[in-house]
Amino acid sequence: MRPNHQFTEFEKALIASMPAEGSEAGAILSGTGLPSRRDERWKWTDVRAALREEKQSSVQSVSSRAPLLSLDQPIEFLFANGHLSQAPAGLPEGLTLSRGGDYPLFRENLPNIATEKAEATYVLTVSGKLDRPIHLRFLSEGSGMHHTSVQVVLEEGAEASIVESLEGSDGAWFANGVMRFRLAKGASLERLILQQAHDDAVQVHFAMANLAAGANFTQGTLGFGSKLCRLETQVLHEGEGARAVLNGAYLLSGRRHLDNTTDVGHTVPGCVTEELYKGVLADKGRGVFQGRFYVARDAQKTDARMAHNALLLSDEAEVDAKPELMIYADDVQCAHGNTAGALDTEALFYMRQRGLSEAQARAMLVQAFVVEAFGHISNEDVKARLMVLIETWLEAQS
Amino acid sequence: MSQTRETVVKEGIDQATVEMTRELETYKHGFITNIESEKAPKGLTEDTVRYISAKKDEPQWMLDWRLEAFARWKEMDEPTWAHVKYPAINYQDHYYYSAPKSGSKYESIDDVPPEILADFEKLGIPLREAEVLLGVEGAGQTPGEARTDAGVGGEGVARQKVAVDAVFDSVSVATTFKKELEKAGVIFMSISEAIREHPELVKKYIGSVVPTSDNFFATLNTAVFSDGTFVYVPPGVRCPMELSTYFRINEANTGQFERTLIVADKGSYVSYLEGCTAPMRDENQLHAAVVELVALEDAEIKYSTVQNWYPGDKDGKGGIYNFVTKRGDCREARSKISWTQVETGSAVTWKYPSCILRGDNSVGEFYSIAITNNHQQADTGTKMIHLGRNTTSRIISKGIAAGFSDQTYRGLVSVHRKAEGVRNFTQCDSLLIGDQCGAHTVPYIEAKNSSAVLEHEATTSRLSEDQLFYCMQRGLNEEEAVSLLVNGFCKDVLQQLPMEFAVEAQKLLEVSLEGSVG
Amino acid sequence: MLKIDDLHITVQETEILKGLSLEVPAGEVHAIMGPNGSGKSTLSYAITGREDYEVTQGDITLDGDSLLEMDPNERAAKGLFLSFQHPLEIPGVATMSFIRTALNAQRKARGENEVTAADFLRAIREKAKIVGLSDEKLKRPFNVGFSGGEKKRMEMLQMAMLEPRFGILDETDSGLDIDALKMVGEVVNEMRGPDRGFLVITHYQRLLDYVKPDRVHVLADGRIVESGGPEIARELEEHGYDKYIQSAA
Repeated sequence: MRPNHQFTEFEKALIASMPAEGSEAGAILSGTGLPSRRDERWKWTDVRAALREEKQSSVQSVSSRAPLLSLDQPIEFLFANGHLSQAPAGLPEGLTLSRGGDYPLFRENLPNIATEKAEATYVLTVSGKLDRPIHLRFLSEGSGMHHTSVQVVLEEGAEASIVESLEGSDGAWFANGVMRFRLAKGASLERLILQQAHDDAVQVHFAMANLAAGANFTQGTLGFGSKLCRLETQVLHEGEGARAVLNGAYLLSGRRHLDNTTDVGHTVPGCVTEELYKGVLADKGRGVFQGRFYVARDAQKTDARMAHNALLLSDEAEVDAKPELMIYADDVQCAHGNTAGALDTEALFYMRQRGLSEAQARAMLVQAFVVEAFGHISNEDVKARLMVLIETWLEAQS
Repeated sequence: MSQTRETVVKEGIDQATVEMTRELETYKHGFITNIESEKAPKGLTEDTVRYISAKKDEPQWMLDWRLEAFARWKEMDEPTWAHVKYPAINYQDHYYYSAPKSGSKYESIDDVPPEILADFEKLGIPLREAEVLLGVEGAGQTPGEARTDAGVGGEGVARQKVAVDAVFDSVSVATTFKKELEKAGVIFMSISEAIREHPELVKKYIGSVVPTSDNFFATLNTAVFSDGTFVYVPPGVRCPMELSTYFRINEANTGQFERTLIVADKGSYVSYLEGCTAPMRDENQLHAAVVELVALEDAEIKYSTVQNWYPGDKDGKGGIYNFVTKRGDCREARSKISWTQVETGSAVTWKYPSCILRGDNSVGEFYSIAITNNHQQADTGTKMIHLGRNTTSRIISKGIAAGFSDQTYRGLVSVHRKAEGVRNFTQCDSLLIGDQCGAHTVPYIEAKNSSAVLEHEATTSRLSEDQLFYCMQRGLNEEEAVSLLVNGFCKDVLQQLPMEFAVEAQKLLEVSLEGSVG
Repeated sequence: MLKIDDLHITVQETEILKGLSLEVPAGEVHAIMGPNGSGKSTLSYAITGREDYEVTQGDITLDGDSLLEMDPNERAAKGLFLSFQHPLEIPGVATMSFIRTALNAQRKARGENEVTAADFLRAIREKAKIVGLSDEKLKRPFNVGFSGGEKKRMEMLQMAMLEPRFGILDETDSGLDIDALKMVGEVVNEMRGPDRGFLVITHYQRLLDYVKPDRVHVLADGRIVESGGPEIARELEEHGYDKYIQSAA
């Protein structure tokens, strides 16, 4: 227990709402409270400070709205303030929905709380090749708090794509979600996370992916931040020859905060991880990037590369980065790079000499900077729609 | 090299003795000098602090400062964030003051007890004012031999003057070339003397870079520091020779808490070298130093360290806990502070020589080679705090982990809101030798100004088998090949060392990696 | 057409141009030659309005309008084109889209209609052939992975597409082989006309075999130290810049 820990009203209410008996998450919460800047892994994203006032549980309905990203024939599941309010009448062959699913006790306690507090852990199981994308829409509204827990299981050789859109209307809501991905041998999953929320919202969206031999996990993220938002993905290579791609872009304006945290564990030989994050910060936006590669003693021939590049468009913006390597095996290729800086003034001048206005040149350069993070997305349609979202953001800046 | 030599076990000599002899050959500074010493009572209380202060004949302000630090230290917790593991330290089980009994400072070099002179001579440290090389690795050699040896690699630099302040356990026993330096206006003396002779200077600058309650170990140091070096270079003076301090822990169960303060006044330049060793003992010993550097307008300080404290034996028994706070303050415009370190010793290292770049256009540099072998652990790096405009920093860190060792680079580059035009380049490369060691990189980058250009690169790899094979095909044995390649890996940093130090550092790299291959 | 009057330029507190005057009438091609460090590139950046090139005295006008208060893109829309000595790579920016955006931005600023995608495509394909760039090169991100020569070809392609009123070629010949030099000559000669002017900045005479200048000026130590006909270029080729460097110093 932390000495002299003063629980906030929010923490007290949350603790009170946990089951009195047998709640591991509740026990940890009563001991340490919510993560704050005193915790090494949360030093730049202080959840405790962002959530001081007491919050009620959210009502289980939201007003309907157009999806942030329209997909071609999506298999859509809609979570209204944490409540699964819409699911397709019939699921295509190779996809089943059930409740239950087991969860380990995560190192972070917020996902533990999400597991315990969610109305259920929904389990989507995929066998074979799923042609249509799964779309999980997490809609939030109001000023309460809510939790979700979803597990996606890909059986041996299965293939699927999933989009999680974290969307929200006005309100100082708190959404806490946990995702678990389990990829069996040779399975392949393309995951896309899209986050756009109101200025007052606080979001924590945590995912854990376990990859068996030869599994392929590809993740893309596009985030625009909120009052405080943390998107965390932990990947564990458990079978030889597994491959993970973790890419993402974030564009932050106003006083928005977005934290992209990734932690990739290599425990067996011959796995590959590629990671590229691109951040654009305007106004008083604050971007946080924490990336960690862990390579265990037995994980020889690991090939892991990480890069994070941030572009600061304003003198009031801030970026904090911690690209971390923990290496215990010698026959590995591991590297990381990190850059932060402003737009290249030479390129700006060159483009303006050709006749582009400053705003045009800036927008084009920013787009070019960000687009690299979507190089892995195979669906050109989806890529184009993401670019539209980025263009819209850029237009709002000029 | 010890393991290539055949050891014949004769009757009557047990295996332990053979092992011990081997160890002695591996760590060459492990001898103990028998000399009667005067110690403070074991343990740490307010009385210990008063005892040390009284022994040093200190003015009241210094005692008050120590007591304040001690009071704060009692409220502080030992930091746990570093990637190192060691059994809990019982701070009451150490001696906090130990001095050769015959007196702490000698009028002339001839008064220094012959045992201590011999001790430093064994280490290759010249306490007589001869024109000799500073040797770090010359145990068993006379300074003359060391010179011949080093001369091979460093022609033309073999005869250079180096002024030495020698610190033996808790006290400075000798300072050389004082007179010659005085002529240039340079003050070079032990900190105890400086507190008495130049109280105004010491009072002005001590604790101004590392505040009293900066961190657990620095606060402990403030309470109980016993000696160290003070340097003041007056405006416009280029210090006529390299200055150096040589630290030696001899006494058992004794912590060494030295305090170094270097002030380079406007437009001055000084290059300072620091070397350290300790005898081999089975128990761990604590070394918690504080080094403060202040560079005023247009001044430059170059601070080089070759740290070769006893690292413990090959099973991780014994060795020095090296918990050191080193910080430089580029206080005024266009000042420059450059840290270069070669870290090969200590059982556990916790050390982040840092630069506060306060003056506009000031420059901070950190060049580091860290080698860990056997069961050594090192968590080391730097902080570059950019406060002034157009400040630049450069970090080159080369980490080599072998055996069962664990090594972490931990660094912070921070750009504050008002710091326009900041540039940083960081390169951290780690090399793993063997599959039982670990190498980690933990950089923190905080940017609050859009005009900053920050670049960080890090790689982790092992020695290329192709290169090893190539060298061996050309006739080098495996150790020579490794040593050659490691030297190449470290080249960018070795180049930063003063020439006479670089030669010794290269040899030290070789010794440190002994037994890491094959 | 382009008139430079007593121009003083300071870059990072150092005066580079120290009272340069020059006039290029419409329909003419002038060459500026000068030793390294004489201020040739500074002149091209000053005319096109690069930041940090501070005009402390003098004026630059195009068709009688002062350029000094104009942004780089306004100057471009007015018809100024600079072929950069070291063209940039811009990763992530599609070449065609960049050139088309530039063309339309200029047309829009001049109150002209935008070109359609089809017209644009037709024109760029045709002109790419002239400068010797393949379709594949056009599909790449701007200049990424291009050789030095290819980057210069891309500069010429843009000049041909943007049809400026006044073109500045800043050491376009550096690093080019004979074929590429011929191509530059072809593009410039094709574009020469009564309403258009060019300023060719070069260290050597060889480009001037393909682009025949009407007048040649020698730039040394921030000033024009001699002006005359094409014979000056030949003389420089023979005797070098020594006499100018000495006279300037």
